[in-house]
Amino acid sequence: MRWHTVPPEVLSWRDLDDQLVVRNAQSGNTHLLSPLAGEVLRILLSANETMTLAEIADRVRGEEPEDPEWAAAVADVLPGLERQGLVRRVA
Amino acid sequence: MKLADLPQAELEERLRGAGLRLRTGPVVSEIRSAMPPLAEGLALLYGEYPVEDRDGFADFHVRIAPPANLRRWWRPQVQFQFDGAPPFHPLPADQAFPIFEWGLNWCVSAHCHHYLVLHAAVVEKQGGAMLLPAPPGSGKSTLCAGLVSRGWRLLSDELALIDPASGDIAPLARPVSLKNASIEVIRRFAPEARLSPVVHDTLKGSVAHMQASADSVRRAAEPARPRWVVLPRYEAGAKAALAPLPRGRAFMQLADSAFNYDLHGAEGFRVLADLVEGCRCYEFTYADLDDAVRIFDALAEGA
Repeated sequence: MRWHTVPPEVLSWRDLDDQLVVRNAQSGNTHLLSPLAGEVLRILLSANETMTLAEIADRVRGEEPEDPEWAAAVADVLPGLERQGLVRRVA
Repeated sequence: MKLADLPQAELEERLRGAGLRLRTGPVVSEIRSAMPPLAEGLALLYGEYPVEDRDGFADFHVRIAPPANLRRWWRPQVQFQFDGAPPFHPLPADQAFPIFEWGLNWCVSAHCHHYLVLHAAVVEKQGGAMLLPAPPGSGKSTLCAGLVSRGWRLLSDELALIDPASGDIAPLARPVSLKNASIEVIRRFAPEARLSPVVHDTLKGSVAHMQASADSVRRAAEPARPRWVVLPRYEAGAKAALAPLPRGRAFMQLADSAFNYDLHGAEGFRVLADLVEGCRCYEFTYADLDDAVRIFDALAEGA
């Protein structure tokens, strides 16, 4: 399964004290994201293409040692972003 | 001409007749009413406000009058009318002045969409504006009244008008609404403050309005740059404490308190985000107004 954001042109976002605030013009809703959720959304926005869970987790991990916990944490976050209408999954 | 220059008889004649055109900040309201409590309240609290020409433009046309029903004689009522129609249910007649104040707030929040309008008090010192967004019961108006009694300029105790182009806040200095225990708190804290008579048993409990300072009214055309966002919370017996508030949370609080954030769309998001980025944001718990004034004066001095 792969993930991507909704079209970036419908999103407005701003980093405020390491918190990402994002407005979705399609839903009209504004969300304050957790630091991890904000990072996942930033990664998907900058990738400009679909990504797998493992690819996202690798980008989140950065230089940190490999650990399955990274993928588990990202897997927890993605459904929330999907419910907020910010990301979509592609089978 | 200011309202205090009008003889009481002429004030009442204008209210009963063609209407009194009163400027409050960026808004001109044409006010009509034959009810004595309204004329008395205006004379008591609006003396320093400019009266506009009868032929000039008025943003809002309002009337404070009894509803056309039998209650005219039995437990008389009063109704706020906007453009000839009543947006609210009538209230007991002794609430004529409070319903006028609440009605004018509604006029602004429901119609002034060229501003991003927040439910927040705003005060200013040293050129910096402090926004105090908070739900009813948080002590927002009490804190606002306390600060303006100690030299802070009042921009509004209820509505922050943010100019989307500049990001500045337009003043709308009108009387500060005090409720229940706050009335005695302010009477003790600022014995020189001019308060309207207390009206009991309103939807908000007992209410009184405190006159805005002459300086606040005189500087009604002078916008202020937002510098602080403070979420106040009154807590009996609490030691005054100012704690940093993450800007993301401050943004969400302001967005939640906005009347027309959705209407402004992406522009509203940008305006609020710019505002929050340019401000220091805090949560503030207090019980004592002297402590609050001391803390906020220090904040302004250090700006």
